[in-house]
Amino acid sequence: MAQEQGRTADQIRERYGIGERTLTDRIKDNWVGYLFIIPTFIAFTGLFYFPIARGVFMTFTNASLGVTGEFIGLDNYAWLLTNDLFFYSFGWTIVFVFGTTFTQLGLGVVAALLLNELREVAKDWVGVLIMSPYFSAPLAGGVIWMWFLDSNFGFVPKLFGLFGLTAPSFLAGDFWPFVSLIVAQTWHDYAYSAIIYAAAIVSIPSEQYEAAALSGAGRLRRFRDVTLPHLLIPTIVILSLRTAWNIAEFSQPFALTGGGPGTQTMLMSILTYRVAFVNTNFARAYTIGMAMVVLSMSAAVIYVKAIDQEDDLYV
Amino acid sequence: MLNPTKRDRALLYAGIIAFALFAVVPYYWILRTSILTNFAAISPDTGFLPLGELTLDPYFAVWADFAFPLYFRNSIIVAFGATLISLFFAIPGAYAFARLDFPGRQALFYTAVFTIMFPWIVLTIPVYEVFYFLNLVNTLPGIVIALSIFVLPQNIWLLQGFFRQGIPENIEEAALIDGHNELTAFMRIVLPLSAPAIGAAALFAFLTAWNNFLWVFVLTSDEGVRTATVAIHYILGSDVLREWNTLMASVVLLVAPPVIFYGLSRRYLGEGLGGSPGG
Amino acid sequence: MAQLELDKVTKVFDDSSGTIVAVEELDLDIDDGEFVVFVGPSGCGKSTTLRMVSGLETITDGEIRLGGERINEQSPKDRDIAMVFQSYALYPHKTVRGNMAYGLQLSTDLDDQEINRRVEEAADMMGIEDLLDKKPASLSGGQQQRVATGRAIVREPAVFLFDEPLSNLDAKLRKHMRTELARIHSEVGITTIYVTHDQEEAMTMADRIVILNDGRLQQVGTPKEVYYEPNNRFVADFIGSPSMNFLDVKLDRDGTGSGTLVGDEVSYKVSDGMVGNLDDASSDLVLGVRPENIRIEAGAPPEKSIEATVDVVEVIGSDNFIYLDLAGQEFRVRTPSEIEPEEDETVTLTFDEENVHLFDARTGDALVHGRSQASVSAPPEQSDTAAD
Repeated sequence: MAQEQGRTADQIRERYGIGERTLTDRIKDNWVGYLFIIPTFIAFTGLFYFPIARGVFMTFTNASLGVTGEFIGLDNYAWLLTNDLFFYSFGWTIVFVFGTTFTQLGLGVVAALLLNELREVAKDWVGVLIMSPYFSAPLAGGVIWMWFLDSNFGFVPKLFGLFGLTAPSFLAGDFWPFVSLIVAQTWHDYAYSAIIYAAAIVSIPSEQYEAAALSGAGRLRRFRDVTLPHLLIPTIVILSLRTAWNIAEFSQPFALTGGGPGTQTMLMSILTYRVAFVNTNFARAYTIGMAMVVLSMSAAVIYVKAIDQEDDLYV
Repeated sequence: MLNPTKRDRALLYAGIIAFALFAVVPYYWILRTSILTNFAAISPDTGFLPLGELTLDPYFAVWADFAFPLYFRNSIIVAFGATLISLFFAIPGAYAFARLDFPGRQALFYTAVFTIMFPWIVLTIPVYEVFYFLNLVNTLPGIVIALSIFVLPQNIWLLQGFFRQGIPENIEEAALIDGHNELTAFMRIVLPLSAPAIGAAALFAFLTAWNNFLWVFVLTSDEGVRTATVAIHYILGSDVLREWNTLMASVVLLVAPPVIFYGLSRRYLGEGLGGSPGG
Repeated sequence: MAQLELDKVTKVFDDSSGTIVAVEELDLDIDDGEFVVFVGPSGCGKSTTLRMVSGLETITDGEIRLGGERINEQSPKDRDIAMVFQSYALYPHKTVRGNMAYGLQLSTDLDDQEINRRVEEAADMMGIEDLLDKKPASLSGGQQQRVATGRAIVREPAVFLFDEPLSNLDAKLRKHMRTELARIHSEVGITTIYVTHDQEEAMTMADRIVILNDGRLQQVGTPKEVYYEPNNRFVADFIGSPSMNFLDVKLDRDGTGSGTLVGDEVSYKVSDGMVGNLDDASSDLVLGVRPENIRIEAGAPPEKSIEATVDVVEVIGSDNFIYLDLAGQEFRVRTPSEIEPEEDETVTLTFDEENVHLFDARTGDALVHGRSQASVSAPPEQSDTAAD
């Protein structure tokens, strides 16, 4: 029992000669781990770490396609802060991300709760049906909605016609294109949150519902006291991941409006693309991209914090 | 769930039907167009359910009128290549994340989380620059490499989840005691047990690469290396007389494989889909 | 010759989450054929020690020798050991036969016939002949446990290592497997280290028990030794169920060398033989006495008795467990089933001096055992029989 308490880590290390261990010793002890991780590390270095670092460096130069460029200090950032289109697209991106993320979240949780009430086999097949938009190519999603909303041939205008109404033009004007983009984006990705929520709901032990029912809790109360607490972490996960992915979304809005009419629905992702690959001004494009990176990395920090607390890194 | 009344049941079905319609009607509309004649496709008189005017000609036209055999061939080549390369990197990486412990694992794992959430359009810029200098722009190998990056985080995510939960505890240790070393234990015990999960990861990698637009669009300008996804975008933007039915038939061909395969394997995968990035 | 020696074996886990000494300078000699049980609460270092012996964990400092030869640097497959895991760790894609034969196929050059013979022999010993062609997933937990043990037996190793092998079984099966494993050990006679957190399992199976706490060795001894002469308060508390009662007391000496142990509502007279050799400095003592050594006896001599109020009587059939309140502390007594006092009744308790253990209140070290003072230092005989 005689434990000498309160030894510091350094004292222990010194006592057993751990501090003297060289890098080679450490690698030798963990060689299996390093051997397995090395391909991933090389891939990440070549295709993430280096390009990301190179891109950040680029923002201080006037690099363009095929030209390494010269150091020009903060000129690109000065340009960014005086650029009206950037601020316009920044604002619209925030609205777009906010609108899509929350509608996706809301539809997802409702879909998951409804599916959970179905019997096994029906649950599977109806689930596949309801989740199906998520699996289509995002570009195809854009084409599908363009056709679906098309003023001449689309389903929705035709449906309006059935009731003797004239549909507004969904992809033109100064209001409907915004709505169309958000609705189409919601359609494509709401199933993601439905999938995560469904998994979380299935994992709630049924005894908890039975216990709540025995103590006289009604349906709403059971939902509030049993279901809701289990959905907290999934909600944070979905919010942060979908926020990052909706910021990054390019293909579907690009196919649906391409930022138009004119530059009216210009998202930051499309603007980045235009500046980089239409104007071939890589440096300025990455500078715009920095704004996206800051936004999505904030979401990533929240995500890491959430999954870290839960010790459930693979949600 | 306890004593459901008839009214609740009706509300439930109404909700389910609303969701199903929201999900499926947009699909239905391209499917409908893809089996009409070109005239019927653009005629305002064609009904919602034009049973009398159906034809499969647009599907034959897809192959005859455009270079779609080439596009779909390219799609298959790049998706297959990206799947193989990304699995080669992802299998050991995911295994290391899930079951091995070494200094630096945690830090590397968090950066893997960040890569999943990174806006890809921004990453295309420096990668394009590198590919430009390496003469990989406008080549199939270039697209394959780019798509491998794109599906790598998703693959790592899926597989590490499996390695964590799907492989029995201590099994490698039992193998070490039975006479394996760390490498042979992985090759002879863990890999055979992982075959179904690796198969699933391969399928998802293939379909994600197949669906991808951004990388192929950015990295190609030649028609010869276009994939189906990008080709559809170009046909939409071109001034040629549009054959909507044929175009929609090609969209159906593009969308059908992922929707069908994802749908069939959804049960197996569950929440593992968390790793597939948008874009 | 499979004598296993641990010489100042130390394991330090040093990573970003902290520096922890899991096992500290553990010295232990295990004789050929001995059945040694490591026991202690979770996190005491018993599994880490086992894993260092197996080679699954590196050794920070010290040396492990098997048959006189240092094995620190040898990989698990070269150590001539076999291990049974708590999770069994059977290969799900192989049949029972395949699981059992695998080690022999990999690390020996026996021909298939010989391997088959040994597998069937081990299967026969474990009573799993009928399961040989099944996959692990179709077996019950108890059957999987047998297969895992069979897989170890087939190897005919120098040392068997068991890492809490029965923890995943239900209580009845666990007791059955306990005797089964003891029988197999006596048949094959292979040196065995067995890790468990269950002191009863340790008592019933072990030739010698190794008790660990906080990475340090507390005591090594036969079940009887650790039961009757615990080295310190931790061992006294850990071994035996319900666990030993402890009372804080001071020693009041009288002129003759004997004295009285005095605490809250406690006063117990002890003889010269018990406390005569005690250092005067150590007057802060802890009196320990096991529940099964206490009697409820109305007419007990007052200088040898304690009064306490009954809280709860737990009837378990063969005995009664009586929980009493003594100066606000729980006091446990185990009595024959016919003695069943009323709740809230105040009873007189007594116990013999030979069942008294005295510990240093500050260090927890045992100072004197009433029993050893009576029978001086006669070594307790080696025995497999249960101490309780």
